[in-house]
Amino acid sequence: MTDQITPGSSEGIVHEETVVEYVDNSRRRALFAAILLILFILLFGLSYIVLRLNRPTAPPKPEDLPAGVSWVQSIYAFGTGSTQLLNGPVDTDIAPDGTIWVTTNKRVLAAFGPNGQVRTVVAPQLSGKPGDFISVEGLSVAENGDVYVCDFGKNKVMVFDENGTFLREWGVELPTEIDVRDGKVAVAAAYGIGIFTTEGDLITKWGKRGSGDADLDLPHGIVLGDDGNVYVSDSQNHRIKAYSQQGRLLWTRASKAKTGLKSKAESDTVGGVNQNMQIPAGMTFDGAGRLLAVDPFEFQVLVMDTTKKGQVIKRYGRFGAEDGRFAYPTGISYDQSRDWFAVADTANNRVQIIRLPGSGGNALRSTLARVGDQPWWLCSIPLLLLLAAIVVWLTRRRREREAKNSVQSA
Amino acid sequence: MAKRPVDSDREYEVVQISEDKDPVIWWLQVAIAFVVVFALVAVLYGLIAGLINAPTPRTATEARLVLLEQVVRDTPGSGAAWRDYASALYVSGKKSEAKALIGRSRSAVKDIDRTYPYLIELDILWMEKDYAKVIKKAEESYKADQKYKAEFIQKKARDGRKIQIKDIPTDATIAILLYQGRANGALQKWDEAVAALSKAIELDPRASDLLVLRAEAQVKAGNEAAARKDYKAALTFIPDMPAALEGLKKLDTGK
Repeated sequence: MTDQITPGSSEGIVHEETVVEYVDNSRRRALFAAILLILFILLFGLSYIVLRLNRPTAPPKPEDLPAGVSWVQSIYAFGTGSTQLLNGPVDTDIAPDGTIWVTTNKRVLAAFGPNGQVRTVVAPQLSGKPGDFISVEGLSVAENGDVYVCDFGKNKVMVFDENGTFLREWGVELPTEIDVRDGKVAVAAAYGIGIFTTEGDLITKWGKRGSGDADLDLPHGIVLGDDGNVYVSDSQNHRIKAYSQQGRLLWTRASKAKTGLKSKAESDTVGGVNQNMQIPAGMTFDGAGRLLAVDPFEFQVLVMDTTKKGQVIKRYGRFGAEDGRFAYPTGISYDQSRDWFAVADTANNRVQIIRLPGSGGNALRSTLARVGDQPWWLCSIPLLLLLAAIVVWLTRRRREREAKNSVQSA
Repeated sequence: MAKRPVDSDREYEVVQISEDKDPVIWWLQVAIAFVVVFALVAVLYGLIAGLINAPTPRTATEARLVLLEQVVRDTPGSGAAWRDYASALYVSGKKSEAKALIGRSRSAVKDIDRTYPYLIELDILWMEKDYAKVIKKAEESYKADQKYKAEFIQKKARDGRKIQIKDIPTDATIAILLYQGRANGALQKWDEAVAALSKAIELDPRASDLLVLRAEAQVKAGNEAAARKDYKAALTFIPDMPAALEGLKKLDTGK
């Protein structure tokens, strides 16, 4: 394209013996804009395809979900084949970077990204050798990313790094659940509670198996609180207990409904919320400092207030195979940065990522966390382009004005 | 700068300004084009490499599709497996993928399983509520089914095995006749519906659900005695069958 002086469209400024003419490059500019537009449309089309691909097939309708439960996504497999479908996930915990770790009753330890993509799979031999599994149960992720796993059949607590490499193990008889925090490892075992260092040195232990007030029976949930206390799901005794780290019993929240087989004739409602629990299992704390436990036989997540001795203040969930419902959930964990929970929905063979009201604590932080998991990165490209176009437009105007001014002053 | 006469008497110096020659503007435009092309390439690469496409199932439907796809892969000769997979795909909104399975299944199945691609077509037509096409396709499917069965019997006879038509599974045939009956019912062609369902009941006389369906068609056709007989027959196989009890109650009360 040749620059031309078009008399009709040129703007002439007479300055003594100089004429400034702005060359009309409209054709060249139009061509450039057309090419950019085509590229932009292509980009928009591809982004739409990406969004469609990322949209799960047949997600649950919000009106079909149990009251208060917001479904984010489910994780069904640690690979693309049918043999890699999750089979009986037992427990879950979320690493500081958002990685979701899962143990299954088929001796698999798997890690998933926050979007559900597989990161690591540990599926060793069935044996008692170091690093192998016999029957993995609870797990917990430390602040440094190390993963602590209970092997109920092998009588060991095993430690893996964030890549799934076996690091060490130590003996604990029939360990079921574990929580790691601030260099301390709390282990719930069939016969009591133990507090260890991260290297496996015993700090203290308490409890014995039984149904008495001081006893424990197959506890399937343990969590270390901000207050330094140890909270335990005394599962087969249908109660939740709080201990100091020295093992002093602080309070017990016992259910009046003893088992799922007995009728729940005895009403146990406080503040309009049913307090009954059948077999409380996995536990976690949310961003609001509330204690949460899953009850596989209530098919619910129970939200408790530790300042009121474990009073149940909310209950969420309903039985079902549809996404957003539960079938015998046994584990739960919380991701503060995304304000969501990962629930090991055992009988549905999946991990469900859900949100519950009031879990974030701070409303603004919670809102930001909740919108953060949308694919906003796709918007960054057109926004960047828009910003660049504005910069070009402003720069051109400024430089035109400078050119005019310099010619006029000359 | 160039000199050219603008006025007949005087000569002026002409300064041409073009932003195309402005290096800052030019580089900014190039940067924009680069960002667009880079983004395009990145998204395309992500799609091709499977980085963007989520590889594992995220919903119960996606998990079910994985399982059904595996069943098809493991037993490609099973028409029922193809049919289950196609139905699940269609229900989950993947309609074009479901329709594509008609052709794929046709080239994979053999012998009497060749009826199943027809059933996939019938399933889809039924879900699309195109009842007239369902009736037409069901007639075509029934003829094809009878032909495949006859060929199967001849093939076995050549291999020295004597097989009778009653020895061949009737699931697919009944499914075709059921569609024929239900589609006729949907178009209020009650006599044709009764005829199709009667053929199905001949193949499975103990099927209470078929008996109830025929009874309902008989009621619409004005054959109350025949309807009562079918309801009662259904109750002999499933004594508490709510639909049969309800039907009889309606006949008794006249409502």
